[in-house]
Amino acid sequence: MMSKEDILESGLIEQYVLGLMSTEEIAQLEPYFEQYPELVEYRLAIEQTMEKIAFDNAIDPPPSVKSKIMDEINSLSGISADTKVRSSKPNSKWLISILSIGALAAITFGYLYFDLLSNYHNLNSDYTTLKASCEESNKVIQRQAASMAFINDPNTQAVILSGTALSPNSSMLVHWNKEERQASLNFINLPPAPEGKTYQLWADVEGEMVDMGVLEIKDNELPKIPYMANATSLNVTLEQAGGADHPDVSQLYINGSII
Amino acid sequence: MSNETSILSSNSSFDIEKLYDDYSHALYGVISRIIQDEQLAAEVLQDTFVKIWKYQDRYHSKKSTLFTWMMHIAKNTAINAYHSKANRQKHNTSDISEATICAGLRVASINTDALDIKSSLSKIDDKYREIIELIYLRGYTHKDAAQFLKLPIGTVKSRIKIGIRELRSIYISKPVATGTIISFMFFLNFL
Repeated sequence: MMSKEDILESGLIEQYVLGLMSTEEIAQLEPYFEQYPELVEYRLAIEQTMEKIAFDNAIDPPPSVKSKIMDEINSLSGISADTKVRSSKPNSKWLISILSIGALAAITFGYLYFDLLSNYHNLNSDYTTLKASCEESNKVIQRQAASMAFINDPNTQAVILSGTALSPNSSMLVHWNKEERQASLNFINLPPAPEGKTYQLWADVEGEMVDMGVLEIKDNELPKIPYMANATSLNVTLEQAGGADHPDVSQLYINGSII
Repeated sequence: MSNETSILSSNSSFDIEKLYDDYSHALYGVISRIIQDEQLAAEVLQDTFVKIWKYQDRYHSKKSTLFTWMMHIAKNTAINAYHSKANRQKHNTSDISEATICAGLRVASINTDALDIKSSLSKIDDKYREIIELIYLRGYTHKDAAQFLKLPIGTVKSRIKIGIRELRSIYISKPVATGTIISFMFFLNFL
């Protein structure tokens, strides 16, 4: 038996690494590696040194050698050239990795697709609502613009009609345009009509009270009124629901001259 | 330099293509110094990798590093090919005596200046360099080297040992110090 110091000093480990030992010598030395970790450490250091020398003195082989090796190994393993070796263990890992990535990508894209689809539907619905609202606003603006144009027309006359003794606080603003033969009601203040009653508008034309229609006063919207040629005054009476053929003068709420 | 864990997977299946990419040039450096005929050297490299693949079960990490094991296969394959070629020449050439075959032929035919020996080897004393060069890079046995250098075999053995130790100290003192890397890894460990 040799001590580990003897082995280190003998140079046997160097010869072992360099492949200079006979089979018997190798068989004698190897058990010492099991016994002394320091010897393994020393052997690894020698091996690393020799590996560095080999790498320092490396020479690139002809490029054709690699494919010949792969072909020979593939034919030895009895599997077609494109499968075995090149796609053995590590490549099956690759395959699993690629499939995993693929599955993950499919799930991600699926989720994104449905998420985006849902977003699309929501946005589309919002768009439809906004579009309708916008169209409605445009109509209002157009109406108001037309109304402004009518009011600002030099031929349009603003007529303020006052409440009678029955309703002194009532009033009414009417714009009247003889050239365009148009009229519009722009302000009215009347107490709410009692149940079963309605306000009705009349024009005085050459001493005759002519029906200009029932005034249906709704929230935020003033009733349209017709133009009446040769009218000298406008009058509002409270009548039975549905309107009357002749005004009930005792129920006159507003009146005023047009001219 | 070698990253054996990535090459030897858990069930010891070799990725021969990766081994080739990582090590063929280091092995071919030795093979082509033993076999100077480029075509034959290429065949030897091919045989070497086929053997590595075929005998992968015989590699034991407790006995050597993967590189040492592969280098032994490369060197033995190259030396066998060299002898086969020498034997063919013996049969074809009648006036070559038995003594010139094998080691003798090699000793006679090798020109030590013909192939460039690089780096750290040139930094150690010539008497150590030439022995390591002959044995490690040109596949000489210590007996061949002793005969070639006309030295006692004991001297050759002792110069191998001293030469390798000197090379080790050169590599250890190189600027990319392993210590720095280890310290860095320790530092990472604390993070």
